[in-house]
Order: sequence, then C-alpha cells, then structure tokens
Amino acid sequence: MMVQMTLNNKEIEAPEGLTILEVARKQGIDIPTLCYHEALGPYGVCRLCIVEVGGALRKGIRISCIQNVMDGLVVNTESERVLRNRQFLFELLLARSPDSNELIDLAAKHGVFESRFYEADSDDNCVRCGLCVRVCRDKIGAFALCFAHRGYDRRVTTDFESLSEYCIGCGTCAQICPTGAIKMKDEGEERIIYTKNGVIARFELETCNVCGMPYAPKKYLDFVKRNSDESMAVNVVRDLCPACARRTGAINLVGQMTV
Amino acid sequence: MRKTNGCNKSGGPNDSVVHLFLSSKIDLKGKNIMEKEKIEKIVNKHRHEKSAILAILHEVQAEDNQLNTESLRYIALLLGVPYSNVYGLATFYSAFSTAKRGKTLVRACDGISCHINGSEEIIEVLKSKLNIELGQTTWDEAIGLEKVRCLGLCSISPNVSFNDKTYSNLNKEKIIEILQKVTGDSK
Repeated sequence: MMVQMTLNNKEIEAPEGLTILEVARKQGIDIPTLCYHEALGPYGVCRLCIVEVGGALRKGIRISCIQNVMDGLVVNTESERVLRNRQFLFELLLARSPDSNELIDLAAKHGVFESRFYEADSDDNCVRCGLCVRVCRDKIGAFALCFAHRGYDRRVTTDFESLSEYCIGCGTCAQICPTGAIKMKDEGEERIIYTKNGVIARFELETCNVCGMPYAPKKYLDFVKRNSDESMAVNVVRDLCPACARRTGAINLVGQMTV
Repeated sequence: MRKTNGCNKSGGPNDSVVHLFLSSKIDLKGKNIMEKEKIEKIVNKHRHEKSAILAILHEVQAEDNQLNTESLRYIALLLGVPYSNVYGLATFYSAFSTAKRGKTLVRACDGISCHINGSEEIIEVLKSKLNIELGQTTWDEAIGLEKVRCLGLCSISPNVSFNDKTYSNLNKEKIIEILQKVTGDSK
C-alpha cells in the first residue's frame, strides 16, 4: 500500500508503515539524529529529528523517527519553526554534554555555537543517546549496560558501577557509540571494554586453533553457541579466528563444489 | 486465579535466561544487610511479579533504610530481572537510597514558595544543629538531611517533613523546638 503525501512542497508517494524520517532520508533530505539507528526500534529521546506536520495530522511539531506516514500528510522538514526549535534542542543537548566534539560539530552545522543554559560538569564524551544500552538489551540480550541516576548525573554504566557480570565482550556497544565514549581494545591476550569513568569488562581471549592468534572471549563464544543452531556455519568454525574461519569456509565451499 | 508471569512459587532464586551467564552467585554471609528471609517474604507477598518491583523496592527501603548492592542483587535474582534494570530503577528515584539513610529522614523543602519565605535560613539551622551537610546522615545513623523541591504545601510554607510528618509555617525558633523534640524522642 502506498500513501500520497507532501514532503517539503513536493507531492510524493511513500510505502505505508514507514516513518517520516525513513521516507525523508530516502528522498535525500538531511534530518539530524542522535538516538536513531536502523537496527533498533524508534526511541525518540534526542528530539533532533523534529518536523512540522499538517494536513492529515493536527498542525504542529512531531518527532519524525516515531510518526508514521499517512495519506494526505503534509510535512515540512526545513520550516523556520523547525529550525528554531531544533536550535533550542541543540542548546539543551550542549548543556547536557558540553564536552562531546561530535555534538559540538553537529550543532555548529546547524548554527548553534554556544548554550545559554547551565552546563553539566561532564567529561566522558557521552551524549546519552542510549544506543549502547538499547543494543545490549534489545539486540544482544546481555543486559550489561544501563542508565543510572538522573538529571545531570545520568550516565551509562554497568550494574552497580562495577565490572559487569553480564557482559559477554562482543563489543557492539563500542561499535555503535556515535562519539566513541565506549572503547574496546585487545591487548595481548586480554580484551578490555572501557569508558572514561571506568572499565566495563575484562576478558581473557581464546586462541585460534589454526594460527594461534587470540581472537574472542570464551563467554562470547559460549553465548554464540547457545544462541545458534547446530547446523549453522558458525558452529563448524567455532574455534577459529575470523581470518582462519573465512579460509576454512572457502575451502569447504570450493571442495564441495568440485567434488 | 490471578495469572502470574512465570513466577516460581518456591521462593528460591528465579533461574531465568538473563541470569544464566552470571559468573558468580552472590554471597550474603557476613554482610551487614537485611536478612534473606525478610526480602523473600516481601517478594513472595508480591507473588514474584516483575511489575511489582517498585513496590518491593519501597518495602525493602522502608525496612532497611537502604537498598544496598546485596539486597538489590537478591531482589533481581528472585524476580528474574537483570541487575542493571534494578540498579537503574534504584538510582533513578530519589525515594530510594543506595547508602544507609537515617532512621528519621528530614526533608527540608526548598521550592519557590518555601525559598521566598525563608527556607534557606531553616536549612542552615538544620545543618548547624545536626552538624551535617545536605545529603548526609548523623554519625549515629539517627537523622538524615535532604533538600527537596516541593512538598505541595506552598500556602503554609516554609515546610520541613520528618519522615511522614510535616511541619509548616516554620521559623528559626520553631524548627529548633521541633528538632529538640524529635532528637529527644529518637534517642
């Protein structure tokens, strides 16, 4: 089913069930976001993706990452009201996280260079988008990270702010973090996931059966084993590092094809 | 019969999926915390329902004047929710405290009406009389002092509440009198 809608004074057709943000990005319109990620569901905390709607909906400001498109919807992503509101939001976010270079750059792109509000005493480079917490909870299912405290004290942390017992060392949080506040490094035979405030988890790395290179924590491999089918390829190459697994997989495939 | 969401009636820790990967089980021995049985009783009262977690935390807080790490871990294990969820909840609400609170919690209101009517002076008196700063507890763990935003009694401000009892229309002399009465009672 397609719906007829107006986007920035242009009549367009869009598939039903998509959000305004998804449709606008497909049309090549730039809407800034912090908390939106393709892999995760809508969250709507950063509020930066606001647009002005009218027509089928009551005229006003809506968050485009949550609002679905509908027939007869009129959307304006660059009206003066949107820009003014968004600048205000940038000021609030800058007051929350004045130390994040990524946020400062994004704000500068939208013409905001300083905040009129009381700035938080924060130096962890975190913008509180919640992507790491959500990916750990919703996609990985490890529940290692959470938001603790509130207001200016709100921060991403592990349970009881000590080394997490739930963390499996997959590193998804470090990868998804838009500002690099969570980092992961493999040092020798140890993997450390850490933020500026402290270490999230430490792991001994297992070594590859073929080349002997340390490549993944045991807990992570157990997690993969538990959550995957016996017939899946990941179980065939379980004790191999990614490079050796690729090579073995290719040999298996070619071997099967030639025989 | 009311439907419960996968609770276990035995009262032992709920061995749900989230806790399978725990490297260590908690040890409650030798720690200065509430007894396991008391927590189990409260959790059983709420039929191990995950949705009752706030009520459970309130009751444990009232019983023990704190929600320390071991209590929170045990509640999480009994309910089968991740530690991180329980910790997030317990630190979010100001009704809970992860550090030991005084038996009597003095909440001095510093909302707009109270502020205009001189709550600052009252807070200063409280601080000097109790000899503690805001957010601290006296050495004998009898009285804790906190500043709150509004107690909803603006028309008879300034207000200070001692646990559940609220005193209104205060001034310097009145608060000293009340404080003497309360400290005399609690000792």
